Amino acid sequence: MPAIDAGPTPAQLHALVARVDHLRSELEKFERYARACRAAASKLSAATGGLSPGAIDVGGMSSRAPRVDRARASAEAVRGTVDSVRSRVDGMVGDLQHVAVAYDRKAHDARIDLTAATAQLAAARAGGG
Amino acid sequence: MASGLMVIAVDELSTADQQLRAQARRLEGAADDLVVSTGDLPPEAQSIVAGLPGLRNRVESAARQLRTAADTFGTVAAEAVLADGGGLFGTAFGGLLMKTLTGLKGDVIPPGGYGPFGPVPWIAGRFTLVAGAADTIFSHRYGYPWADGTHWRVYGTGPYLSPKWRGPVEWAGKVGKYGGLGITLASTFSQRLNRGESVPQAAGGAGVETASMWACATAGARVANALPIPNPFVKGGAILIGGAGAGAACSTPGRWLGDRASAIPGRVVDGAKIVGNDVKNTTLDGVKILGRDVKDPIVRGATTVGNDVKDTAVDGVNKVGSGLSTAGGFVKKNVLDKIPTPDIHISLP
Repeated sequence: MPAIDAGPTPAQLHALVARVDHLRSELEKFERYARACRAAASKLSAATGGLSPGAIDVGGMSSRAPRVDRARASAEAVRGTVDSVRSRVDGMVGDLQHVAVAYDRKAHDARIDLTAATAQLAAARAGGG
Repeated sequence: MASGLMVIAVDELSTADQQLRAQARRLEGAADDLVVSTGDLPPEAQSIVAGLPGLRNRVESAARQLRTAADTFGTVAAEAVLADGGGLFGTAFGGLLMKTLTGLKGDVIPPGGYGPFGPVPWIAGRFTLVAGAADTIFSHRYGYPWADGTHWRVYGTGPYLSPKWRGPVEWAGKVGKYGGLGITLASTFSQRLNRGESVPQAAGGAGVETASMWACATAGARVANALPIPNPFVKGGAILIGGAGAGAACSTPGRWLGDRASAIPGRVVDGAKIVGNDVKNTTLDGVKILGRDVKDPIVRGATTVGNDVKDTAVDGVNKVGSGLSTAGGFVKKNVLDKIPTPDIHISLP
């Protein structure tokens, strides 16, 4: 006499529902992180537009006087500072974009897992119902 | 003082003045944009942007440095124009006129651009100036306060006050008397910080610069006090003008002396800063590389562990540095930078 398939137990159904909820929450978190990283990278990238060391050019001046020379040296020193800061900010933008891509991948994987878990849950409910 | 041929191209300097000011404004705008809300970011991204406050401070400092250079170009150009029109007398008079006009803005005319404290620091500076001047003139005219029975007379004349007011009035007089010196010192200190000097440099330079100006102001007041002027009010005014004039005349040499004094701790501090930066960068790089070495070879399931190790270490180091930098920047920006321009209070011998 064949065994009767009684379908998933309530505990199994509960576990499947919990897994779907967890995956959905993870997916939302990963997507939110990726969006935030992209927004921050975009903001910093826009800020680097104002950090152009080449625009500070006092090297070609013909005026020669101690005070002028000191002021010129001071302005030229600013170029190095701006260049250094810009480089650091560019590095941050790159790092943020990498983090955003990593969370995109995590979101992609979570989406696949969520699809599978949702289908599994639907099948279980159909079997139990 | 360097000697030799001086070449002053007025148009070129004026153009550079304008261009550097425009660049300073751009840098200030960029500094304002170097802010990211970290609330929505994942932990590893928060550690990436933890250094932003420090970078922002560096950009703001660079903008101030550009403005100082622009000021120099503009002043040299203006002095050259005046000197060209008036020869040696024009040079001296022009320089004095320029300094006077520059000093007027901020001393008499509200400088604007108030910070979170509003115009209060500027008004406090004017109060000490007026109180100091009044103290100088009235104490010369009427002598020092005295008590008589149940009443006390301000400088022997004027309104009668109950003795209970004597303490507060004398306290206000002291504020006027010594506040000017304190404000001069603090303001000079703040200006030197704005020019990019370190705290020890700025402290040494400000001390020497203020002492020089103060010595000149006292000497000027003594000379005026020795003049045979019969009218006591006029004499009080002459003492005030003599002190203020001598103090102002010594501002440039005093600044020069202060610059020499500030260079001494500067060399030590720069050396320490270089060593400190090397240590900090090496540590941060080491932690970062270690974090990556741990993270890269392992599969996705273990990445979280590596990230946590790396982020916690880097975040901790960055947050300490960032916290100190932000606190220092806040104090400098909201307290020291808001102190008004120097007052010269005349202290009678």
